[in-house]
Amino acid sequence: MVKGIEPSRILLVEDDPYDIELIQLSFESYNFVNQIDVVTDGAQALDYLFGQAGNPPNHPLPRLVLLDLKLPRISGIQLLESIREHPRTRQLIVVVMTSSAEDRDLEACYNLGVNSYIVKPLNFHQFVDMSRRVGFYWMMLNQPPRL
Amino acid sequence: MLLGAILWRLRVLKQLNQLQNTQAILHVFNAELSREVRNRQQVEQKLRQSEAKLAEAQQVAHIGSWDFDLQTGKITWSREMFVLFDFDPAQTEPSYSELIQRIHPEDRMQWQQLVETAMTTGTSYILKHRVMLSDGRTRYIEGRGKAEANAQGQVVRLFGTGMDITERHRAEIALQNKAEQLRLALDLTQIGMWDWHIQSDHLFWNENTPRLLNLPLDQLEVKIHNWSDCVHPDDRAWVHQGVVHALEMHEGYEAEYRIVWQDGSVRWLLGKGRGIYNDSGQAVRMVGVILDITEQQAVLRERQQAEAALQQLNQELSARTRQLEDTNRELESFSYSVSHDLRAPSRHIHGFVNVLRQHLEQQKLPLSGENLPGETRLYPVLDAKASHYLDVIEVSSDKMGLLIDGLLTLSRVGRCQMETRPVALRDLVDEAIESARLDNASQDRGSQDSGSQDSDGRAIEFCIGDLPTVEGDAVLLRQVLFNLISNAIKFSRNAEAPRIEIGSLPDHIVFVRDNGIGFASEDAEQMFNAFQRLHGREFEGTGIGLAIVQRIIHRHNGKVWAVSQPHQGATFYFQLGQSLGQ
Repeated sequence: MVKGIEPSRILLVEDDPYDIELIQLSFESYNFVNQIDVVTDGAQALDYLFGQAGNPPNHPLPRLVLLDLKLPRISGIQLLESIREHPRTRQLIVVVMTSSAEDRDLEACYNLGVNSYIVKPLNFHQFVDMSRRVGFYWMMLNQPPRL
Repeated sequence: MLLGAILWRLRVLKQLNQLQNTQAILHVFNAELSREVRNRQQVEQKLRQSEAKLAEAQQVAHIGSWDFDLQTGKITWSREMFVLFDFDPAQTEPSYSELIQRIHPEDRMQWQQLVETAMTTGTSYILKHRVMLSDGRTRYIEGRGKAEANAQGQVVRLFGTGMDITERHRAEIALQNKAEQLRLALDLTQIGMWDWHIQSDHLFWNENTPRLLNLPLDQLEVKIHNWSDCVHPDDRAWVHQGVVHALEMHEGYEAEYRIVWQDGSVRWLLGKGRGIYNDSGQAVRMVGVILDITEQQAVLRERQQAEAALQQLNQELSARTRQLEDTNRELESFSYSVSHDLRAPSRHIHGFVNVLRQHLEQQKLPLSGENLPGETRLYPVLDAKASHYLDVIEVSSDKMGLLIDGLLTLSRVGRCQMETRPVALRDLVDEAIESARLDNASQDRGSQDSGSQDSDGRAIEFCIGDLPTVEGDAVLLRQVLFNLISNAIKFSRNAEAPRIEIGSLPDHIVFVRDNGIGFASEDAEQMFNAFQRLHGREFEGTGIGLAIVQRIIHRHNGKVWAVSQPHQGATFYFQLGQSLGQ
């Protein structure tokens, strides 16, 4: 089993290909992001984090998980719950990036110990600006947990 | 001489004899006299004793006696007479005129008449009259007089008594008052009274009872069946049971039951009664009242029906309210979902049109056909027209984004849980001004494309007056102030010297006033509706801001209104509800 966190790896959990593309565009030419791994639903995210068929994953944990809430099959909140339940991923940095903030989503996420909750701006410039700020903060400024 | 002497002697002797006789007679007489004196003394003593007893008795009974000898004109009063008429017993009896002064003026004439008639005709009299006492009180006296005539039928003497009946009189008056009150009460209430002598089955009642039962009014003494025959057949058994039970249990009896009149009409009675028992606990009488409650019953039934109807209505109303609440929730939820789902495509359009612009800006194509030999002229793919089209797409998607965010806010402020607590509006105003300034500046930059221009050239003057602390939800109220101040900034942007005034009036009315372009007063109502816009393209906006304001104020049970004239500036007022305000 590969241990620890890779300091320049991001896991993006997002089912919308256009949003994936926009986020990737935002991080393009930002050299603090070495690798963005993308999974498009909650089940894939579980496999990615905890491995498949009893085998642990063969890659280190990401420094940051960007999580959309509206996902097919397993929702973002359920995924967050699993992450926080599992000893290996309990301290993982998870930032929710979602289309809009509903009170009960906010409450559920903060109850589950989300690290940050971001509403995706509609304006492209603001979107790029926000993505980069989030990336910069969590990937550069923030001291990651020692896993 | 001798003879003379003898004769003299004889005469002397005779005289002596006579003297002796006389002496003897005197002796006897004397003895008798002494006996007589002794007897008289005894009689007098007895008389005195009996007089003393009489005086005592008179004092105890408050009865005085008097005697008037018409021949001598002498009046004799017992001691108690003095007391009754408030004269000093140590003095002599008062004169007739003194006596008359003591008698109450209203009784004086009758008293005089009776006494004088008795003197002249010998008739007896009994008279109740009042005596005015020196301390101002009134005493009630029953006077009796009797005349005595001589053989010729001439009245020679009047005698009689006076009796203090003040207490008896008061008791009589009290009794009369009571009886009067009772009669009045029965008359006014039309309460029927009854008294049933159980053993003999005699039922006595007052006039009201047969009137209530529609029976002959002159029959005041009947049998119990005369009453029970009147009771409605359906009520007869249980009313009877009630009477029996009350008598057995020594309880009060009370029942509301129907009676049927001769003409078949049905009336409601309230009956109440109580048993009267002998020493061995056996019920001997039952007394009570009946009262016609037909009208009360009718009112009661009407009220019960009205209450039932009201309850029905209430249930329907709450069901309807629940439905409306459900519908409302569904609508809110729908608008939230739609807005949420619209956000992604809007974001994509805006994002990719920008990416496309960037991409096209780097693309240059060779001009076909017009190139001179040996030279390759390139022209930009993104010419002025294409750039304009991209602008339109971007601005439109921007606008759509604003609309969606407005809708989301409107939906959120309608649904969110309110946290009510005292809120200092002054703090909220400061925060709202700060946010609104930033927001307006960024919007200006956005609309000016690159944001390089300094658009906020004119300084806005803010005048902030006293603002109250109100009960409300701070987050929502901040939104209200933000929207109102944002509008004020927006619509006073073109004023010579933009000035925004925020303050309060009595009763916690808060206002936001600008000196901007204003609006026509007939538009004041409708502009609070969602998507209602009064101004054209020159002022950006979604038409949702005031709808949000109104929604929040309504959630605070308050009201919001606006006053303006075109080009005269506008003033927006709001006041939170009484239950939340103060």
